[in-house]
Amino acid sequence: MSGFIKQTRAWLVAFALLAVWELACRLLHIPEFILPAPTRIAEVTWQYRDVLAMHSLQTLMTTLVGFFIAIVVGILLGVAVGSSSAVYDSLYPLLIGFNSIPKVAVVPLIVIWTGIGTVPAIVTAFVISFFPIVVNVATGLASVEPEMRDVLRILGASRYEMLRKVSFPRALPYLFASLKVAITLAFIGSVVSETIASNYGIGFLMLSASSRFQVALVFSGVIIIAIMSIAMFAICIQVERRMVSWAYRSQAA
Amino acid sequence: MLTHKLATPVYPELSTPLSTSRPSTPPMVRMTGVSLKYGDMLALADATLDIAEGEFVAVVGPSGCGKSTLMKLVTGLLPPTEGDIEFDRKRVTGPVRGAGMAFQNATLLPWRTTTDNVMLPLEIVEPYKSQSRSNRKGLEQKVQNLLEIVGLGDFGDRLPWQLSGGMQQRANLCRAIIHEPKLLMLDEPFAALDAFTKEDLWQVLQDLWMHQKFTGILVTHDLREAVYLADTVYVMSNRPGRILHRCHIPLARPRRPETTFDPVYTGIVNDLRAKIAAVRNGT
Repeated sequence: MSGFIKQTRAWLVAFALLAVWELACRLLHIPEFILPAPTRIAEVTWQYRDVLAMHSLQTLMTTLVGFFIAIVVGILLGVAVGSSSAVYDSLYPLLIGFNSIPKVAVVPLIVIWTGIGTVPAIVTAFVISFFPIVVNVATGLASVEPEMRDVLRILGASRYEMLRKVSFPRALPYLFASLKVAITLAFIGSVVSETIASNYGIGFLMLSASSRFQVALVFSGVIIIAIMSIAMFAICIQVERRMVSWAYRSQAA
Repeated sequence: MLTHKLATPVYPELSTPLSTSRPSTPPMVRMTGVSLKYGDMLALADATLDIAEGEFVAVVGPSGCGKSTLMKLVTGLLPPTEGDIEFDRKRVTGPVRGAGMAFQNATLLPWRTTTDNVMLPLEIVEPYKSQSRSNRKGLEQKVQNLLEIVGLGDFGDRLPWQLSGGMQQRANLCRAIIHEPKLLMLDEPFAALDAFTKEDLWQVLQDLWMHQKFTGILVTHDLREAVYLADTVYVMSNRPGRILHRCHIPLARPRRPETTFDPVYTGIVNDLRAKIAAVRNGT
């Protein structure tokens, strides 16, 4: 019941905001090329639905491919960094240095190396989103209690057994927490790349729409990215709930 | 059951100075002149002791005296700086196999049920490991039997957060001995529990020990616990830790809650308390 009330409240606030926006546009006669009214955005979205669908599917595809590569690379690097102090010492400072570079600044380089279109979008989505996964997986692996390590060593557990039976399950909640951050970053990565060097995708669509002062269409793009991003976030939460329900239950206790 | 109350306590000397004479049967654990330094700091000095097979030993001493260090040395988790350690007639050179361990922190895996937590050693240690697929049912039964002994028979499918601290510690004990180790190492396992739960668990531990007859080493700062559970209590000095006294506990088994009112029991506890007080005052 309280969940229902909370949800209703969130929707109400969203609608109230849209209503204020709509009224402000109409009463203050704000020109469409500065701030289009929500109804106008809806109208344009419907009008350009085919184009928008094509471009948003492209963005979704590049984002997801980049995201999945980031998961695989992130977990592998995270396991390497988290389970060996030699790798940790040699790799971790490099990773931090790499992460502090603004990725937008690297996109032109990625474009030079990989051309324009789909590939740089995937690469940018990957590059921008893998770092939080590495850090969280490494942190999660390191969070195993020293007593537990002693117990396992005395039992004669191999490194692989320790990882599979204790460290990795222990790191899973950390992994999922990072995935929620990573998926939104991946969207940013592919849209930025599309804006700079692509003829497809929501980023490209928004750039070309704004250069023609089709501001309502730009807003359509923004809203579609937001919806896709929220949807992926929600999927991450659902998977998380299923996979590591124990981490949530123990908080409730 | 209460025979020990009728028996006249016969113990010429409560604690004997350490003797170097050794029994003829080879002991389960033998330490000869073992010292350990952390950097420049001497944590444990010249420890020599024998623990017979099936003996239950308690190590007591002021905090920071190297009790836990002793444990890590016996199990090979730390290499000694000097001296020799033998476990089960073999020289200890790395982490020993076939020991069980339990700590103050129960460290149950939060994603596993009680049964699955206790099952963990069986998935790692042979000969159970190779049966863990084919004979899962049999191993689950083995776990269930042990859970019933400690009073967790109905809690096998609970997750750790659904158990009280005392129940978690029971499950922890089960996990430490499910693979029938020759040696059980306990590092202040009951230190975080309330007095009632603690005394319950003394009982549980004694039952398990009488049932499986493993060799036990209990590190504790609770003298009542040490005397209640152990055949032999070792008293350690302040850092650097030295073994000062070896005290045989002549109380009959099984010991029961009433035992704690036995004058023999209280006598030994008081004697040990005086010794530790002397150690702490630096004499």
